[in-house]
Amino acid sequence: MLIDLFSGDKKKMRSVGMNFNSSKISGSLFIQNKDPIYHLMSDPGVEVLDMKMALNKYHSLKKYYWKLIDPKQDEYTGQVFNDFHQGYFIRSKPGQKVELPVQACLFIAREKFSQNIHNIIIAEEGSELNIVTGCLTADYIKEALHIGITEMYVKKGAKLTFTMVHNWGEKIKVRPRTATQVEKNGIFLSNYICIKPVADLQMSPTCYLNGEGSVGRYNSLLYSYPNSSIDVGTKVFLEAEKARAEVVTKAICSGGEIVIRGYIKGSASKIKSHLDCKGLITGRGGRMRAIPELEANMPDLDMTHEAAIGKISAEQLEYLEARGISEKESLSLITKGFLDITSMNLPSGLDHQLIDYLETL
Amino acid sequence: MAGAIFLTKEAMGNLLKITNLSSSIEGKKIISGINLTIQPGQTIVLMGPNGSGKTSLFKTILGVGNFRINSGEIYFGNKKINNLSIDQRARLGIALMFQKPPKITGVTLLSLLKLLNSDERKVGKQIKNFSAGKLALRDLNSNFSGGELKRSELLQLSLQNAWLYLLDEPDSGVDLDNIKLIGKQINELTKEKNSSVIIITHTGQILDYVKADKAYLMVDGQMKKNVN
Repeated sequence: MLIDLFSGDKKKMRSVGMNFNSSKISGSLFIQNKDPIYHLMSDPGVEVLDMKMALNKYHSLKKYYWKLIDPKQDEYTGQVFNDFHQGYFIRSKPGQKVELPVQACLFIAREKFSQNIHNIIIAEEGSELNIVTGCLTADYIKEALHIGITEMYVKKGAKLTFTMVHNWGEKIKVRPRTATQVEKNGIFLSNYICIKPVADLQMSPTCYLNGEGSVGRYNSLLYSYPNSSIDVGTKVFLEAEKARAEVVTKAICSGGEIVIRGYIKGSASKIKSHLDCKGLITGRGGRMRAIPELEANMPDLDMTHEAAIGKISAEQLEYLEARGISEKESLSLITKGFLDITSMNLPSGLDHQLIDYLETL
Repeated sequence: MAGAIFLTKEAMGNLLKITNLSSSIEGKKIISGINLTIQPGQTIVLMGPNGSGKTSLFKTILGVGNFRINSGEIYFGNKKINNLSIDQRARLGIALMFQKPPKITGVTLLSLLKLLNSDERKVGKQIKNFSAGKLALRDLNSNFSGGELKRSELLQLSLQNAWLYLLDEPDSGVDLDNIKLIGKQINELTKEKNSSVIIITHTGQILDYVKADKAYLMVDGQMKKNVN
């Protein structure tokens, strides 16, 4: 399949981590509105299919389909259940270490379109898989809705790194619904980045650590602008011995309303978890709430949390200005430092794209 | 980073000239009637008890903090700087060594040094000179020890390439061996451009290693005559 895009769209796709150099990726699937427009599989260790094709090919996929997320959860899951458009299916084969990232792009290019997506990712036993998902709208789109159901399965001893970058428009409504199950000694690393304007974003990805020694780690970076509403939470259920979880959310509020939530429940012995919600308010008129929540029903576990909301201190700004750095540059330096994108180990190039963007704010 | 300073006739050869300077915070007078001149290459020492206005004078010169100038003038070369922003003053060539620098998470000392001086070789050389290889990779002022803070401040100043260095207690909380080292580093700062220095010191220990031309005593926000 050929990819046929305006250069502006390609540029925007790069901003969400998409790579057009096929030698740098293991596989690709681009979906525009409801149609796959580009498909590539270049590593035999990983399978990348569009979801309709995958459902036809593998009848056994039913045991993964709508198993972690209930179609009746809310009106949005119901909408995808009743009017499923497309999605991606990505599976790393047992024992395969897929070195280069697999990329999936969900692109809306039709005005007032509702994109109803359902994805399944399986990291088979002992495999390693690194996925970058970029979700975006074409520049000319004023209004649209994106619903993305994603069910992820990390099998025994597997490692899945899942990076999702959003670049929506100022009037776009977004409802991702994501759930992950991690088996014994499996590792799930999630990076979520939404630092560009969005009208209304609500999500609460959920992780079930139900294998002994399983690990779930979430890193989220959020930026809210005037007139936007963002409500992002992460839920982790530690259900097996020695499971570990870390949830870190950093959010900057330059306007609008932003809620950062975290909920961790520990119900097995010797588990360990930490929940961290950090917020920075840089503009007047914005509102931020941080709601960390822990729940436990076992005596021998270790669960901690932190939550802090602050502003950029005049002291920090003046310190940098006293070094001859302008106020605008100093603000940007402090903001970039707060988000600390370089510590997220993002695929090469994506971190620079994001840092360059932050410099324009 | 510092711009060129022209010591024209009006500047009368003075790098910094402060006349009748008074400043306050929230209506409370902090310093008053300060007169001070410094010429290129001169080193001046400011002494005085805690709260006598020494640090406030430095901050007023650079425009840091909520100080409001009530009267008086600050000339740097032939340019009146009373109303310039902090970064404009710094870019003219005034560099301040902070006594209590704030920590900035996610910004490494190295990334700041690179902004201060675009000559990467010089940045590397100075990091080596200050034995700050590991320190440079850490977040700015984050969990730095007292000695590391001084080292980091002087390292930053050494890359600012300024005409005037304002050093706020470079010898406080530093052991004797390190005072000698700091003294050496201060002397290095001024070498390249025959820059000037004003040093605030409580103990005067730094004066064993840095030769001062003049010393002033500050008491209750006012500058007293020369002291020995």
